[in-house]
Amino acid sequence: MAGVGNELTPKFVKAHFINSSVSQANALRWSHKLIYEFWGFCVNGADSLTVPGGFAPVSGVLFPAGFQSSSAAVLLATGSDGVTVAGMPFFTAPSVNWTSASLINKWLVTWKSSSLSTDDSIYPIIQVINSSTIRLDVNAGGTAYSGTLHPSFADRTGINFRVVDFNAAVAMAGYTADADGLVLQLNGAYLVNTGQVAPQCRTRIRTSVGANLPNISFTLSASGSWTPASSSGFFTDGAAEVQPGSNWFAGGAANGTGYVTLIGAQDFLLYHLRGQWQGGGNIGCPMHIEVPQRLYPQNNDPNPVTGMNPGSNSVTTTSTTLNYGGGFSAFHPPDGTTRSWQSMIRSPFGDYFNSLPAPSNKPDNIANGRFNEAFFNVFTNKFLMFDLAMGLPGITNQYAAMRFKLRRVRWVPKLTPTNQRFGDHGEWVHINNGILWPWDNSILPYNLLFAGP
Amino acid sequence: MLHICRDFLAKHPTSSTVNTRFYSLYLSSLFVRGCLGFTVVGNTNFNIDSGSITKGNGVNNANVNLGGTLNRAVQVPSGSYVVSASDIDRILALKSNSNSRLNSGLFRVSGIDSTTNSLYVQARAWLDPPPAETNLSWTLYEAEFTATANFLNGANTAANNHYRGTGNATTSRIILQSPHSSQWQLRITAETDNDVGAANPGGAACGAACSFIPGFGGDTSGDFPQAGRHLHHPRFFDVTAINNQISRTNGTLPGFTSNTVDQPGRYYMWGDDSTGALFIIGRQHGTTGMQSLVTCGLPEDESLPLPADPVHRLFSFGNITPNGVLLEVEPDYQNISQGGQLGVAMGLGLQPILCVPMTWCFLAGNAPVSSIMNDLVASDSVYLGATELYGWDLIAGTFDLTNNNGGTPVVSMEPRRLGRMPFARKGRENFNNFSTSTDPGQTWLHMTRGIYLPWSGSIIP
Repeated sequence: MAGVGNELTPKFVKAHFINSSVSQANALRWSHKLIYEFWGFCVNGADSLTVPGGFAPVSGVLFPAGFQSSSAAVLLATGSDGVTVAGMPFFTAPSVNWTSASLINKWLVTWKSSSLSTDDSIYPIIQVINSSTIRLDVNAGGTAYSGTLHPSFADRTGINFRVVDFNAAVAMAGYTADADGLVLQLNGAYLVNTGQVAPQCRTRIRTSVGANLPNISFTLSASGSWTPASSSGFFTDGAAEVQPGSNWFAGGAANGTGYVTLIGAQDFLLYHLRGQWQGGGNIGCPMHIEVPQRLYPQNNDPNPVTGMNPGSNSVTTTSTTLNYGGGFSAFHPPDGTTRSWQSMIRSPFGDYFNSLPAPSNKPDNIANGRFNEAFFNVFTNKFLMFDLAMGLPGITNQYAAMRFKLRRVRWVPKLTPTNQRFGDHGEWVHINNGILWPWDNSILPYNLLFAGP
Repeated sequence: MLHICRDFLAKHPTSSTVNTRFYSLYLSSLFVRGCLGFTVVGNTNFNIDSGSITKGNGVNNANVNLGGTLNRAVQVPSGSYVVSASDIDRILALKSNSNSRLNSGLFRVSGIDSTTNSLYVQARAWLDPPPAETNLSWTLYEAEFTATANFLNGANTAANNHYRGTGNATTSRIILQSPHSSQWQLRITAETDNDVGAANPGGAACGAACSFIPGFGGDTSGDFPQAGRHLHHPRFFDVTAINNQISRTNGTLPGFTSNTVDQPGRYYMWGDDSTGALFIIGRQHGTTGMQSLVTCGLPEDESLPLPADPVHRLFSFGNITPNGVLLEVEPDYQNISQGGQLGVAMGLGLQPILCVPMTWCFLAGNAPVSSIMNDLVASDSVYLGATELYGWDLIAGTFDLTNNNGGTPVVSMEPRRLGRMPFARKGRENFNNFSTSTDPGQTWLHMTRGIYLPWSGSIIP
């Protein structure tokens, strides 16, 4: 069955600013409210202004009443008459009197049903122009403008929108320790792998474990078996919860501000949080969930889904058990357990990473120098990028050489600068340590991971 | 169509050692000429189409397995050739139209049947009995020990820092043109000791003793032009080292590493009669001196769009050191004294560069012989109940040196994926050596070190 065409088109929330000093737990609630709006409306939304798409049909949003649309303090306005003009940062919607209240520093969620546009995003409102028009910080989303490639709006009418106050959302009462979260449903899975059912990912904000440092954990259900019973629901297919590889917050402030970046389509969600809650250094928290490309026949592996949750670990490749080196978890049907899979790339130097360009045999160690030319062809003006495939070594009777390939990440040697765009049309961007995430070819006036990776 | 030569055992009737450099040149040429339909462009001291080497041939008129006692015989039309006792030990090249994995290849004649004008052949390369088939193309060649007795290995009169295997060199060599529409050519050369010897003083260490180099523009002497459209580094630059010093041409000639004198080996060959792509393995049969592999021609699954000039699609990869040891695909910045392998291709800057097959390696770090295919508990996939096989992608232009004697960069880098290495696949290395896959058709053969090649049916271990 063919889709409507937009299911696998990545959309973006770039360097969203958590602009009030909030607690660590509230930073995670803020992030979840952001994911709720982005995933539910920008990525999966139809034309309803209050009912999101992309969550488990029943009890897919495990947050207190008012988190979604019933609180006038959280959801300030809605409409379907938004208009934008190419190259401009303005948003016009006569149905709302934009001067009726102070909307500065609130956010506008915009989308159109079945849209391919990266204009579907979440923007800070930075100026009221008149009663029907506001100015947005279009760098948060937008479309790369012809010529400059700076984020700008496209010509669109009939845009759905929600005006949201994230600060009010996290200030609500009624949050439940170790229970709040979302049950994301990856509806585009069948377009990735023939016959695949929509898997689900249940995120959970954990606030009372370990040293009582808030964390996010997640559970991946290959068959999408969320059994509704509100927050005490469960999956029936035996998937285990994936705990973060390290705490999300360590050595930082109890309260602070920070930045969130989201990239997603109906087959994946990438998330990155970095703020004052984390200590010094590049120790932001990435999270990666996706429907990978299945490499085994459908009958042998019908519904692969995988995810990574290293905690405060930045974006790295050098660990065999964490992050992009070996931290991707996936349910392993042959023994009914959830296991970590190791990432592999093709070596351009043969059967290993030669110690001359890559000291210690680690591709992460490839440094600027004479081997730059081994990755860039001056005649074709192209840089080599590498797929990541996943295997399961070292476990007797569970060996699998290559089960799936990740579709939403590429690797390059880290001798290239971060934020460098890659691909014929800038469809990838260098995040950190050689890891590329999907991109829209735009050029931002600041680093995507504004507070560091 | 894929044609397989299934384990041809070379020999000499009176000597335990032979000139394996000449043997590899001779037997490989018989396969590409007789089984794949290459045509001769030129040669020096190796006139494969002459009456002294080609004893008879026919197109689509031989029959295999006549039944009864003739179930391992090949009948040829008496109007084309009359068999005789002189044919015993000669080599029959067959090109099958419908059983190309079984009935194609090189076969040793073991006897004759004058009544039916048939040649009995040794059964080692066949199922027993082979599939009955009619209308095969065939060529009867002189035995290797007789034909190569006339081969030569003399260098030309150039100085030692030039390539010595061209022009008035007497060394035996041949250029054959592939059946592919691009008409790419393959030069197989018994290189001179001046060019490929590792001795110091005296050798230039350019690579294999019997090299396999694709290109265009070959002449009637079996030579490519200097600075022409071919991948022969020493000929292209007309530069070699003196006394095994570091040079841009060290280790750039893939092929059979065979020294002049060694025990003859077993030859396994795979070839495509459409693209002309080749994969040849020499397996030791007593001593390891001749063990090598070489693959060359056009890759599978080529990167698109195809380059405008087909020379940019060609490659050759194989052993480059004087003595082979292991059958493996493990390229490296090779020290010439080690069991080295390397490949060559043509850069978009129109000079030959290097090329290697890429193995899937751990992103977190991967030392030699430690990929997931080397895992100690590797087994059949728990998902598939079978051994997983993956292709090697060929990438050109990621090496800038040819050995690690000081790591001096001497070759241009311009990375570009060419395609996938033809025929071969990479699998777990702890599968039994020289064993077929366990599926009913035994469709893959594991050689050693995780190299799997298409097969059909049983083998002689």
